Order: sequence, then C-alpha cells, then structure tokens
Amino acid sequence: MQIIFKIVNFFVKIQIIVFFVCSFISCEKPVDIDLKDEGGTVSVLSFIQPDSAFKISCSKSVSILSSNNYQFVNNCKLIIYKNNRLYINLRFPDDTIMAMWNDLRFQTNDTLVLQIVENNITVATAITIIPDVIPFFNIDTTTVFRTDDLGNKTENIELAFDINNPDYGSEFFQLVIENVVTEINGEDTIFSSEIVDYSKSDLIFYKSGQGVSSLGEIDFKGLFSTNDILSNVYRIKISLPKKSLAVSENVNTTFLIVKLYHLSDDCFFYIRSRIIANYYDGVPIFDPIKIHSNVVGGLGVFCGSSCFTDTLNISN
Amino acid sequence: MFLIKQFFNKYSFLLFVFFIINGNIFSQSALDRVVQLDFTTGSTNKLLKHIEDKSGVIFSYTNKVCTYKKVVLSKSKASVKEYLDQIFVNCFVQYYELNNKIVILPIDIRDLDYNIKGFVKDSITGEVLIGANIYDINASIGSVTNDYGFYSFTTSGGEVFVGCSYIGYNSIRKAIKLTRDTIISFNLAPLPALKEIPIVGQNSYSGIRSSQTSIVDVPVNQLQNVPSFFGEMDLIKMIQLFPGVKTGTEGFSGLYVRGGGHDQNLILLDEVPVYNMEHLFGFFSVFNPDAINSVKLIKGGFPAKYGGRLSSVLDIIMLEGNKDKLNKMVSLGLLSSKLSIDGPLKNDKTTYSLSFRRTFYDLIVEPLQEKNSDNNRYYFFDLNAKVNHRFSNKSRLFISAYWGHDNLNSDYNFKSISKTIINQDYLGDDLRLSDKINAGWGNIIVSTRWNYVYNTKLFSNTTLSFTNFNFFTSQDRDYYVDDTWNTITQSYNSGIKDLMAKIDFDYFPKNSHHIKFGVNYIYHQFFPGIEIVQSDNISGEKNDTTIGGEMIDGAEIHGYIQDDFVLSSLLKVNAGVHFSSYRTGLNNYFSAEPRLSVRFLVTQRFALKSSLSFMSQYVHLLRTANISLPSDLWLPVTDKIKPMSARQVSFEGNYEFLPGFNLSAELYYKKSYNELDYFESQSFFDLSTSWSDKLTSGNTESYGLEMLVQRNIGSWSGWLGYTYSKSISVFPGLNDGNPFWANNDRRHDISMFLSHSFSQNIDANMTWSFSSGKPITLADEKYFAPELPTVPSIGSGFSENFSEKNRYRMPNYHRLDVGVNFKKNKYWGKRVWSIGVMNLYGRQNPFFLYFSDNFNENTGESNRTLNQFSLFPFPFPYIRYTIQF
Repeated sequence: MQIIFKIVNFFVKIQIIVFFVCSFISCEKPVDIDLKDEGGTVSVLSFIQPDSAFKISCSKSVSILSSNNYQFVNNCKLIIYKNNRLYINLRFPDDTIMAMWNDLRFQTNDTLVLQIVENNITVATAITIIPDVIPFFNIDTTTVFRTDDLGNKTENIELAFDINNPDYGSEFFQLVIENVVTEINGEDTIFSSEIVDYSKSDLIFYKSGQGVSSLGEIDFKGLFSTNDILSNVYRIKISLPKKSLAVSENVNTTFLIVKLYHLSDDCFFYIRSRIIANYYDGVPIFDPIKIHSNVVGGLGVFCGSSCFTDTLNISN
Repeated sequence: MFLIKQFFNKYSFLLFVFFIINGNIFSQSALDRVVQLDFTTGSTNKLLKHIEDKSGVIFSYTNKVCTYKKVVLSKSKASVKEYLDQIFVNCFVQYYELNNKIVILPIDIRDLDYNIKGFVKDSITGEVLIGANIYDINASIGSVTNDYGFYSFTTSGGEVFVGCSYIGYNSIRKAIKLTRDTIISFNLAPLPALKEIPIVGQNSYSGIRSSQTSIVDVPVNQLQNVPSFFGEMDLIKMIQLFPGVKTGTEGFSGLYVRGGGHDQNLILLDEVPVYNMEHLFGFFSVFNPDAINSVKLIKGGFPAKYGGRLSSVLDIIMLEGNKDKLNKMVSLGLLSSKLSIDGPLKNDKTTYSLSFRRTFYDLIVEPLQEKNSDNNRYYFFDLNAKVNHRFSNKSRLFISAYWGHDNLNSDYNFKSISKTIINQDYLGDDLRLSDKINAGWGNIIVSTRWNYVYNTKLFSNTTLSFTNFNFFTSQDRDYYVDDTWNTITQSYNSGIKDLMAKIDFDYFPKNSHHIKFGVNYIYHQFFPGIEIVQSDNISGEKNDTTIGGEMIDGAEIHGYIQDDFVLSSLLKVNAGVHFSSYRTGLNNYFSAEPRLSVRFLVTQRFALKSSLSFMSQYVHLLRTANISLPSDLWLPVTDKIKPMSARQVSFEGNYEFLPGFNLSAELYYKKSYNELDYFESQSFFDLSTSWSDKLTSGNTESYGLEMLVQRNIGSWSGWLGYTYSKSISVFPGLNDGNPFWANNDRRHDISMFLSHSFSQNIDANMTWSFSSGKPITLADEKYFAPELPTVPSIGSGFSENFSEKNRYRMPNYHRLDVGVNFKKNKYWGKRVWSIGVMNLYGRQNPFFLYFSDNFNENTGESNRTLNQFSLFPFPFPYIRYTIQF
C-alpha cells in the first residue's frame, strides 16, 4: 500500500511539472511559403446615394506581406455610363485614394456602369442600380421596463413600424438608428450623434432554429432582407435601452434618427462579408472570408443605396 | 396405336412413380410394420432373424454391414424401422424396401457432408477472436470467424483434421471422427512476442484469401507499444499510421480517409454509431484501449452490410471479459489514470468487463488555486462496460455501454455580498459569490445484442441501441440590482440522439456461399442548438425562455443482402446490394448501392483483388471552424440539401513474400457527390441566414496508391506504409467554380511503426511519420477598405483577399517518437513502466499559420511576416505505470 502511495505521489509531482511545461509547449516562428506576388489589382469603393455628391475610393492592392495597405492608381480615368449612355468621363487624381465630385449626383433607379481605365487600358468594370427609397410608416413608440439578460431592470424604448414589401422579392435593407444630442455649452449649441446598438430580436434579423448566440453571434448592424417575408407589409419591432442614449446635465434635446437604407444586393453582401471577415480577423482556425465584390477585374464594390429617414424626439 | 405407344414411352416414368406412390399409399410399408418380439437382447444377426420371423419381412445385407455380439433393444413392441435404428445406432447404414425385402447397405461416411461450427477464443482472456481461420486441413475447406467469434463450414465425414489459426496465436490442429454435425470451440493461446509463428503449411481464409479489399485489421495488441503523448495510448492515432488515413491537424485525433471528410466515417462501437470521438478538443480519442477487443478499418470495397457513410467504416468491438478468472489492471499516466476489471459473474455463463479512465488535472490544481479568485478546471472521463451472458450454445446476450464526458468549468468575478441582502435577519460575515461558466460534451451509448444460432447454417444478431452526443455550455451570473437579488442562467445545448433497431443474419447454405442479410432502422433526433435563459430573483419572479434550436427528427432505413461465394478455387466474389432511404418534408431519398469485391488467387501467397462500391450519406457535420470541434452540429439532409454519395473502385495486390511478411499495394479512385462546404462569404456564427443557406455542394475526386509492408509476429514487428494521393474538389459556388485541392489532399504520406522485443521483459518501439503539407487558403493581397457609411469602426483600414481556395500548402510534417516498455512479473501479477519521448528530434510542425505585423523600434520600420504556430515543438517525454493482477 505504501508503494502505491509513493507512486501516486510521484505522478502528482510529475503532473504538476508537465502541466507547467505544457503551458509553454508551443512556439511560433516565421515560415517561408512562396506566396504569389499578388497586388496591383484595382480596388474600388463607392456607395452611391441619390442626390448626394459622387464619392469614390480608387486604389490598388498590395502583397499581403507589404507593410502598406494600398498603392495609388496612376493615370486613371473613370468612365461612367448612365442608363446605357456615356454620361461622364472623370480623371481620378493621382496620389490620392479618395475623390469626390460635388456636382455629380444621381437619382434613384439610375443604372450606372463604371469603367476604370488605367494608362488607357480598361482594367475593371462594375454595374449597379440605385434602388428606390422605401419608406416606413405607422411608427409606434412605447417605453417599457424590462429585466435584461443580466438581471438589470431597465427602461427601454420600443419602436415598431411597417415597411412595404410590394414585390415579395429579395429586397435588402439596413436599419440604422442614430442618437443626436444637442448640448448647450455656454452660448454654443453643440450637436453630436452616434449610432445606437439596439436589440435585434425581431425575426427579420435572424433565422430561428439555430440558437448559437452563447457560442458567438455576428452583429450585422441592422442588415436584413425580405427574402422570407410573405406579406406585402412587415412590422419591425426593435428595442433599445434608454440609458444607452447620450444624456448629460447640459443636454438640451435628444433625438433618435431612424434611417432605413434600401441597399442594392451588392451593397448588402459587401457589408455582410466585411462584417464576417472582421469577426474572424486574426483567428487562424477559421478560413479566410471572401469579401463580396461586383467589380469585374478588380476588388471592392460600386453600389447604390437610398435612405428614408425619420426623427423621434425623446427628450421627454 | 402409334400415339398410345408414344404416350407410354413419354410418360412411362411418371406412370412408374404413380404406381410406386400408390403402392405405398394403399399398402403398409414393411418398415412401418409393428412387431411384438419375444426377446430383446442378442447379437445383431440373431435379432434380425427374430424380427424376420415375427414380421414376415426379409432382410438382405452383406458382411460389410457392421454387426455386434450383443445388442439390447429398448422395448419389445415397435416398428421394424425403430428396431433397425436401434440395432445400427453406431453403424453407418441405410435401408430401403424392395418387394417386401428390406435391403441394408453400409454407407461410406466420406460421402456424407457434416457441418462444423463453434467459437474461437483467446485461451487466457476468453475474448472471442474475430477473423480467425478454421479449416479442414486435407480438404482445404474452411471459414473465418465473424464479429462474434462464430464460424461454420461443411466438410466430408470421417477422419478430419481441423486446424485453427490466428495471427499472434499458437495454431491448433484437432483430429476428429466426423460422423454428425459437430460443435468445436477453439481456445488459442497467444504467442510470446519473441516467438516466430510456424506459418508454413497454414491455410488462411482471411487476408490474402479473403475477397475483402481496402481493409486494415488494426493490431490492437500493439497499441501499448505505440509511443503516445503523455503516454496516453490512442487508437485513432495508431490508425493514422496506416496508408490512406490522414490526420487533420498536428496532434489531433481526426480521421480523414481517402480524401473524405471528418463526418464521412462510420464509427461503430459494438455496432452503435459514435458521433464524437474526441476528448480534450480532439487531442485524444474517446476509445479507452483497455476496453477494446478488435478494430477493423474499411476504406473501400465496403461489404453490403455497411452503409450510411461515404469514406470509411471503423468497427470497434469491446472486450467481453474473462470467463475463468478475475483480471484487474491499474494504470497511472501523466494525463489520466485507468482502472479495468473483467471476469466471470457467478458462473462461466456470464462475464463482464469494466474500464474507467479519468484525468486528474482538476483534482491536482484545485488545492493549488487561490480561494475566491478566478479558477479553471478541466477533466474528462470515460466508462466502458459490457456484460455477456450465454443462455446456451445457441443463444447469447450482450449488453454494452459507453459513457464519456469532457468538462471545462470556471469560477470568476468573485464578489462579497452581505447575506442580509438575501436574508434580512442574517447578521454575520459577507458571502463570497462568483459567476460560473460550465461547458462540456460527451457520448452515451447503450446497446443490447442477442445472438442466436438457429441451426448449423443460420446465425442471427438482433440489436437495440441508443446513442446520444451532447454539447453544452452554461453561464450562471448573480446580480444585485435595484434592491433585488437576481440569478441568471443561460445555457446552450446541441447534439444528436439515435434509437436503432436492427437484425443481421449469417446464412451458410454450403461451403461455397456465406450469405449475410439484414435490416436496420435508425430514428434520429437532431438538436441544432437550443438556448434556454432562466432568470430568478428574490421576489420570486421567474422567467424561462427557450430560444431557437427546433429539434429535427428523421429516420433512416437500411437493408442489405450479400453473398461471399467461391466461383472456383482461384476466384472468390463478394457481391451484394445495400438499400437505404431517408424521408424529408417533400422528398423521400432512396439509394440502391451495389457492392462487389473479387479475389483472384494467382498463387497460394499472391492474390489480386478488385472492388466497386456505391455509398450514400444522409447526415453531415456543420463545422464551427476548420478544425473539428465539439460544437460542430450534426444535421440531416433537407429538401434543399441532397444526400452525399460516393462511388469507389480499387485494385489490390496482396503478397506474402516471406512467412509473416505481407506486402499490399492498392490503387483506388473515388468520386463523391453533393459534398458540403460553406460559401466563401459565410460563417457558422451568422444567425441571419438559415444553416442550409450557408452551404453549397460540390464533388470531389480522389485517387491514389497505397502500399503497406507489414509484419505482425516475431521479435521484430511493425509496418511501413506509403500513400500517394490526390483529391480535387469542384464546387460551383466556391473558387469561382474552378477546381481546387480538397481540404485533406496530401501528396505523399509515409508512416512507420517498428517494435522490437529484446526479451520477455523489454521492448522498444518507434514511429516515424511524414506527410506533405496540407492545403491552406491564405490571403495573398490586401487593399484599401475605408469605413462604411452605414457601419463605422469596422476593420483595420484594409481588407484581405485570397486569389484561390486551398492554393498554398503548409510545411511538410514529420515526427519521430520512441518508447520503451519495461515489464516485470511480480508475485501479485505484472507491472509495466512505459517511458518514451515524443518528437525526438524536435521538429516544429505547423499547427496553423497566421500573418503578423512587426515593428522594429530601433529602425522605426515595420514589416509583415507569415508565421507558423507549432505545438510540442521540442522532445516531449512521457511516462506511464501499469499494474495487472
């Protein structure tokens, strides 16, 4: 019996040492893999909204091992066709990655084709349609007290409103709520705004039957589609804790600006894939996410969206 | 008249039979005539004469009929036939009537066929030996034991030499006089490792002579010799050393067979599917080697008996227990400790086997962790139990069970709470409370099997079983808010439950045929993730909310028939068909899967084999990440997601070039259809899309050459395997529809296991394995990605892009492990010290790759590198102590 105790004692001591060692049993080192010398692909980013100045980012990709994140395009022209006709020929300025033309504005339902020409060679093209503004209506606002998941009893603002889904088709949206605060600082009135994180428990934001939120859940920042909505009107319900809204002694008024973006499918899938890629960023046990692109011959997105806005005063 | 003659010529035989039958009907048979005898004792001749006198019947017989000086009849009044049966009870005669005469003729028993059946067992442990050869040495007729150690074959009567052999055991030859159907059970004694087995002249009905292709009979007896991390013997890691089997990631117990996925293996423990085979996130498998009797891996040429998965069948049979004596074993290791016990229960008709294994890291660190500060605990355990009861030689019952569980829990966020908050009348110290996280996973498997031998030719096995794999997490939190004490529990459960009923028959109509047939019904319940939030506060208000995760149920029905038959002495065929069906909401999927294996015996030691098999699969695993994790979800086919299917052909040469040395080379080609993968922009954690919409389907083509040189006996034993393989996938929804290397494509794979017994007490062992790097998708360019107008603060200013899926390869993998076992017999039993070193030469094998940004403070320059993360990058020793008594 004494021998068995001795052996067990020996193993316990060894185990402590081994598990101490185990916490250091990994190592990292640079590895030499012949990565394809990628880079030089034109990348574009432009979210076109009706009646807004045309703004576009245009640059070129670099090798993944580069310490830079992009390189400039050279001698680059943007040719835009509107509704199947040549509309405008723009020169993208050198040594920059973002350009804006204040006088260049488009309307809903415009079909736009972008042709990117570098050194007189067409390197990429993209096409998009600016979607209609879809309004929401029948807004109801109530204030309720709820016990949240953390056991806190909180005062919540609950919003409900209807949106049209006339074609029963796949329309793509993003619901963004901004909290705008006006503060009086002496004689100055300061406006500030920030996007509010609201509860996305409405079934339009997630598909039932796959409750994995305890393991992890990606917040798609209010993106949704009408894929599975079978009625021509859908009532969205959301809730946001009142204390998350900016409040201070100097606050004069607090508004909620409710924005319903109607997105083209490319906008929708681009934003989604960026969010997923960001969620997995730096975790090597997941495969890299392919970020959606509608740029033929290039990367990024050239897409249209429109926005319906309404304001709610919640100061009182 | 001519017509009448023709009629009589044509039908004369029928008329003859008609009159014979009528004669028998209308007159009493002489054999049936009842006779009253005056005496019942005498010589054969005297009694026959007396019966003649009393019955009026005349006996006609020659002196070749055996006669006895004294025969005693049991009664004085009986039929003539009854008297003859008693007189010639020990003689081989036949008698028939002819014109009121009874002709008695001697029979040469060599002209008669008799059946030999029985069981083959290990003489020491009493465990059945599966795949043992039993044969009539002179007639070269034989059979192989089935999964229950049962065999049956038919041979000519007379003097018969029956041989029985099994690799690693002493062969037995028995001389018997075969005069009737006979039961012979063999108890083979295991050979000491040092002893060479006498091979010459031995017939083998498994291996070279079997029609089965692409099969690995895993040498379970070598398990304790394979060096292993922490000295933790691991069946799956041993199987990974055979050709055609790949490990997913360094150090993990994944199983990827011939380009197939992790979910394409049918893993059977005592005939019940096991859905999760991983402890400690896949570092160890759930199979306790001390509880295993035999293991068979089938990579292709699937017999019709098996169905439901595309790539492989891993058939594991648990130990039954010794019927003669009680065996006990205790084993202490660095990671876990084990206790096994087996033996007879009351009498030799009932045996049991019990094995328990548990890690004790949590028990050790518990006292070392500070009270009231964050602490973490982890443990896993598994329990194997089996009871086997023999009702009779014809009827046996097996009840087996497995229970395994991994648990990870943590206490954190300690806080002091005045007890008066909970109990207003309390005056005393504060209460220390903490939040808790608890996560775990495990399998529960129970099966009841009943074997019944109906007759010499028909054997059946009826199985009722239950299997349950469950993964859970839960979090308990305590809050004191607004003068209210709240507790919240949020839990998540996922898993799969199966209820299964099946019956299998083995039918031996004659030596040249072994027919198997059966049906199998599996009722599945899938739990794709159920969340329950429970809150409770001091005021008594309770909430219980169940979110999502609707249970999905479904049923698979399988049926099969196969015949393993001999066409000639050279040609043996196993042909069959497997049927299966699965019903979804709108579709009833049905599959008829032909199976064919052919063996051509070129010489007694060289066989050519070929096989063809069609397979289908109705369940699949939805991955959480690119490594196997217990949070992965088992899900069924749907109206949208069609069943996966595969077709495979293989050609094999099997050559025993020296006694005990076997060389096999096999070419295979496999094409899988409707395999599933995530879209390139999709994720497990995306709840805005239903799981079926995240998946896309495609096909994978795999082909390769597998070679294996193996020696299972003698002081030097082991094997060397080499695989050359390619697997290419084409998914219309991935990689722009272009072909890409499948996730587990590896070009070259070499595995070696070598064991040498220096003496009865010392053996040394080594494994070395090499594998070409596995494909990996790496981003190869990055580009400017500004903030989005509608989603601020996302990303780091750039996005990454990969040009092609699985375009790159991880560095090659290789590792050398060595170990030595020191055994010693003691007065109380036997002890074994196992010590060794893993990764002897300190190879840094890749676990995963990642990009790293580095900033040089001296130069102010930054650069980006691709880095490799390695586990166990240096020689890693292990030790284990085992006692058997």
